[in-house]
Amino acid sequence: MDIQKTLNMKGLVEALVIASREPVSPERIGELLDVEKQEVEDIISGLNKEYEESGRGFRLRFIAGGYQYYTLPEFHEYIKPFLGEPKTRLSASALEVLAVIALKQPVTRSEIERVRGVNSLHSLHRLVGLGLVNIVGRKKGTGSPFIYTLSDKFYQRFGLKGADDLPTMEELEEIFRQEYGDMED
Amino acid sequence: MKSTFSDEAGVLEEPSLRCNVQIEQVFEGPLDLLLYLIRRDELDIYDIPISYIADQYIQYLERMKAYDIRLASEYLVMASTLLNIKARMLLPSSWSASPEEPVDPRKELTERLLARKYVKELAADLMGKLEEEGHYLPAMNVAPVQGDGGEEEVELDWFQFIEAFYLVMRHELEELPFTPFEEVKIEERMEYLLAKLGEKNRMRFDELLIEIPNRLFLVATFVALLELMRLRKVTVRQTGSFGRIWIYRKR
Repeated sequence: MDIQKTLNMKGLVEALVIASREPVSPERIGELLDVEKQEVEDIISGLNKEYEESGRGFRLRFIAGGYQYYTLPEFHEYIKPFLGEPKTRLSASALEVLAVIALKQPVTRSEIERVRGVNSLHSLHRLVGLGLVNIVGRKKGTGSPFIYTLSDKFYQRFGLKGADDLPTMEELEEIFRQEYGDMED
Repeated sequence: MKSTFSDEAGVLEEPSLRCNVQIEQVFEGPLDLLLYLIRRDELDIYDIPISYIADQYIQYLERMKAYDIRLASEYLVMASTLLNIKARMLLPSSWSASPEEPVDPRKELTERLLARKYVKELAADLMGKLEEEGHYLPAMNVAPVQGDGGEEEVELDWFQFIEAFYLVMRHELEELPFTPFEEVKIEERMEYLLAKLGEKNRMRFDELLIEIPNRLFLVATFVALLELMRLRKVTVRQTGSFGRIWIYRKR
């Protein structure tokens, strides 16, 4: 009986993820199936195991706050030219702006520029245009500047689970201090 | 430790910097130049010999000037910051208001340099992640059905758009601040609008408005839209007579 139930659950998870336009969080899947989050995770790893064993070209991955189907990287070089999708190229400046936002979000332009030491308006505009950065509001005070955060699309494009998947300033500092110490020795 | 100070050609993406040759291509800002000097002369970033680095920094700027390279004002601001710190270092009593807790005058600069360093490293890390993730393709899901609740969308001509714009913006306009000394280029706004439309087929007009900081910006954006309509790069559609306004990319 339990096996039967698990089978149906697997089908349900597949159907839900495939039909959804956005990554589906394990919490939402759990709501639908009326089970705990841990059980959802178990079902998903079970599915992925089945896909692997039967040599499928896709897997369920947890990216940008939820599960979505992704093709496997080994097929990339074959399907990419076939699909002819353009690749997003980001300049060094744009990547740096993303890095500052990643470390300081939510953040205003002047705060970003303070860290970088250079004007960042154009990179910011481009990133908003590409949908990698969101404007989430305005800060109260002089000039009421915009407040920027990273978008779900950013996490998706960079293969990150979410904001928690990014390092903090303190973590980077720790790594640097260690490397610096090693260099001195 | 990564140190790619010489291949920061990415600055070409920043149109405002495009005309400042060499120095901008090598260093993206004064903090980068300082980090380079610290690395070059193997200085301790936690204990910067400020007098030495100020000399080196100013020498570097002088050399740039000799090549007739226009320096961005940020470089000059940093030069004065360095001299200010140097002066304060000479007067230890002025380090802090309370003598029990002397604050190193270099503290803020060191923190900024370190932050800059971390950002550069994280940026390099992100580039790797982007590259790697590009090999996974998400399942292409069906795009949402266009249109709002079945109501028909009508394409607006210039005059209809101006009228619709006025109706939408009437109240908003009053609330936007007026900043007299700012410069906004119509071409840049056009470029921005096209970039924002980028991968999407259309965008909501009101979504665009939340990004507008002042009246001048609003006017420039509006004129940019009119220009894009004239060049047949975009079309503007509205659902019903007071409905939502959409900007469509024309292909």
